[in-house]
Amino acid sequence: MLLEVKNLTTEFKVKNGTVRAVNNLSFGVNEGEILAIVGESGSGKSVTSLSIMGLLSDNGKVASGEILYRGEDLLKKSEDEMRAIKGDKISMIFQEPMTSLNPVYRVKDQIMESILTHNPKMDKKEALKHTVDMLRTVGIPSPEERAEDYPHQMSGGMRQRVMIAMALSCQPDLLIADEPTTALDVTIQAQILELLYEMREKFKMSVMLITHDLGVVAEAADRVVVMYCGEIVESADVKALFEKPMHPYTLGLLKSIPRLEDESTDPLYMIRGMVPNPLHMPQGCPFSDRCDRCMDICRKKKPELRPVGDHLVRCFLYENGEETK
Amino acid sequence: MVKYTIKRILMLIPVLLGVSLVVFLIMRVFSPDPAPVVLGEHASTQAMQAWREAHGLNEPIWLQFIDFLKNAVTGNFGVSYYTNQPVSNEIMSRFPATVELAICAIIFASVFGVLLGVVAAVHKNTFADYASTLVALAGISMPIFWLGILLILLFTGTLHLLPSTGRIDPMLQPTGGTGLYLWDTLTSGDFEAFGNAVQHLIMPTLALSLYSMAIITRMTRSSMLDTLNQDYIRTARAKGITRRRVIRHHALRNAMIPITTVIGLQFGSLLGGAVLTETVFAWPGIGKYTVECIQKSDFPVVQAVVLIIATIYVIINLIVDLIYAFLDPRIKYSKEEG
Amino acid sequence: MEENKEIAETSSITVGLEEKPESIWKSVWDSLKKNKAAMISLVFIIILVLVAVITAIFPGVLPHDPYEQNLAKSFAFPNAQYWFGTDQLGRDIFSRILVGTRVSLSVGVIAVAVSLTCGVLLGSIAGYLGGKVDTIIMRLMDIMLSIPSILLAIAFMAALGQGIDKAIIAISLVSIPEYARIVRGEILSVKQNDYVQAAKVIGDKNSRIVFHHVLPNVMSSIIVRATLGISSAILDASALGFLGLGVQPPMAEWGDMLGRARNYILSAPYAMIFPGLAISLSVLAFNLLGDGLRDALDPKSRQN
Repeated sequence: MLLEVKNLTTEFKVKNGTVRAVNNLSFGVNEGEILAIVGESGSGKSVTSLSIMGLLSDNGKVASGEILYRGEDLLKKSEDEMRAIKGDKISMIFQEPMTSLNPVYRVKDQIMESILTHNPKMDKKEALKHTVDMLRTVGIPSPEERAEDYPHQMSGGMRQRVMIAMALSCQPDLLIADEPTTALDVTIQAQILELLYEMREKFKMSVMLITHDLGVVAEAADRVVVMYCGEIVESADVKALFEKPMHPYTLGLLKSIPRLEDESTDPLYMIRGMVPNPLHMPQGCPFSDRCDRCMDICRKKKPELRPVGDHLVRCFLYENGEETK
Repeated sequence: MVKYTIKRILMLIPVLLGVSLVVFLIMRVFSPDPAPVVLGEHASTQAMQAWREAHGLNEPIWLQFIDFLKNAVTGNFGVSYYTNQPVSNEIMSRFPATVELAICAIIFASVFGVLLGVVAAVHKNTFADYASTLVALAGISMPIFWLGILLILLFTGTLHLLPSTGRIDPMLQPTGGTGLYLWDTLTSGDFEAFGNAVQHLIMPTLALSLYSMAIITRMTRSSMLDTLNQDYIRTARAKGITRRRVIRHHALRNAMIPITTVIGLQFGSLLGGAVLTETVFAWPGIGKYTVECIQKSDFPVVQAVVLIIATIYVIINLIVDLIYAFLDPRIKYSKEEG
Repeated sequence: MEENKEIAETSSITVGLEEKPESIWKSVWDSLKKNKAAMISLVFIIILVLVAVITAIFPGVLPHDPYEQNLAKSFAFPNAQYWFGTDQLGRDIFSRILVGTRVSLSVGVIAVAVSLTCGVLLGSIAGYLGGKVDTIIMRLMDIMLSIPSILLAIAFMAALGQGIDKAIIAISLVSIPEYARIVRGEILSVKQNDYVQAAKVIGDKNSRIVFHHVLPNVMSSIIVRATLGISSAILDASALGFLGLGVQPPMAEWGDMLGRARNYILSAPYAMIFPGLAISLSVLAFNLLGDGLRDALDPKSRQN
């Protein structure tokens, strides 16, 4: 396993207390696979990726757990050791291509900075050549000229390609893509996903794809982890998950995807209610207030994550290893 | 860019015309008749009449204004009512003192203001942050003249370290040269005089720069906090570059864009503050001279000084705008007018 | 950053449900109450106002007559009888500082009121009408801004002559452009907002739009500016006083007291330290209150 997250708990200090954004989370990313982490905003999926990268803001902190990269705990690494890994072995792209690039530097300078940081012996000319090659690889037309552009001269899709080129410039083992397509037009979304897929093949890397969009998951991922309120509620292979979603939350997410072939005039399904306030979590299952199949026990006790068939599910409906009707 | 620069320079003309008009209106139209002030209350009516005639004050007011403008363009601002020396000479002999003080103060204010602001932002909510916030608060709350007096009490009255008045020991005064004593003494290799000039400069510079430094500190802090929260800072951190490089190369470079504007604007308040600083430290510059001339109704001098200072100020802000374009590639001056 | 946004999103939903529009001022007050520096400043300002009012109505409460000269007692060192010492004419500095509160406060408040009114008016006209009117007004403001304000105020004082009323006029005049610029800028940006565009589509008149939609939105920045403006007006007034261009003698004004004692700087420092302290503390109080108001009025900082 390339990356193994064990019992990760990340907390944020806010004015009125401490918010546990990620709670005792465990999952792994295999070599060469695309793992999707799905959830609404506030589910802790972004915090998970920032915890791995050591990019939490000042009020955030990993409270406990291990993040093993090739067997070594990233949380035990010094700042310098971690810097050598970031951008080289593990790199990341973000949701907002419009604001993720520094507005005052040329595209080439920003990519070259990555390359030269991790290859200090390379000369600038070579780094520039590599930069242009990367821009060409991610499908930017006339890369020699585009390299001279400032970010504001490019469209959102182009900027996300630049971000990908930058992230891949040192051939990482793992790319963490945090909602890489959310801010983009639908047509561009598909192109960027296609590109990520291609790049995975080309560079033989793993991808951790964070998204709230199950449509994106179905297209790109090999395996899926569904998160709710900082915890995994279900995880399975993408095929298994779409064929037989088990957790009511997963089911709700799937039902709320609009489908072209659906000819009924019923309004689109919506999960009722809202993500609970992280400072006032329900006592039992965090999803109980919104669940269509909530039982008495759900309000009193928190369910455990347990294997059910080829899924892992956290729900009392599957207490006996199969669905309680 | 060149086109924009030329356009901006041409746009200065109406502003400076306006400044001349405003100053002229204040000094010549709304102000009381200077003749009794200059000649004394008891001068005869004929004497006053003759004096007004000699200084062109009997002509129609609009003609006086046109004359003033015509002459101002050639650098001729008339003669002082008191010394009968050309105003331009009077000003030029005092100008270098003010320039030297203002340059030292803006450098001091910018360097330490940015430094304190960055430290405060990077170490937000720590002792360093509180300390620099405190310094900044003191800076914007203390009147310049009071600060100057406190400095004199400390460094002259108590510690006997620094001289409280003047620019340099008269025995060491350099002759000729630019009139900027630091430069003149340094280029002539007279290190004793240089040291003496520095000693004289320390307190006026501190007094004059603290307010601007405070403003720059506050601006830098908030601008840095703002940029440090930007997405591209997270991108930079994700690249694995050092924290120092993230702060200097990525955050400060962006934060400098608004800071530069503030520094430019501070130059104006600095030129104004020079009036007070020079009065406190008996600094022989145009600020102190202007106050004296206002008090004794020496209007040609006041008009000239205000016009010159306004010119310097607008030119500095034009330069700042051009630097702004250099700092921020998103700004294109060719398409829109700033 | 992302994780903060997520947390903010969820908590802002709950805040949004609980908060009614009319409770905004209450929530501003609640958040201001938590700001210790601002609250101490507010108390200090209230004390200043009380001092100004009480010494005006009941001059008898002063320990000494602030105008009574006694050359035999000039420059008495601070002692039990004269807490802050006496000045060059033997007048009690403590009493003069108390009396001077009224001058500084009224200069600050009146000057801000005048310049604010003119500035808001000019700024709204320029911002709302745009075109030639805008150009003319803003060019005029540019001209005034290109002369350092203290220099311009000094020039005005030279023309108007000495006196506290004239100082107020001079200080008001030089701070108009700042307010006009802020209001114009805010109006230009608010004008682009959807709800103002919507009001236009519905057919609201321009003046109605300004009063009902735009001004309430610029209120918060105006309140903050005005509070900070009082502090700079007090500073400017004291500077004019220091240069001998402020009040007519024997009136007590802090800057004037400082200026007149200036030649005795090393022999009688207390004659300058205490008036300077009075200026600095008052200015500081208005600055801290202004900062506190800005934080309290900023919806972003209120949510967190």
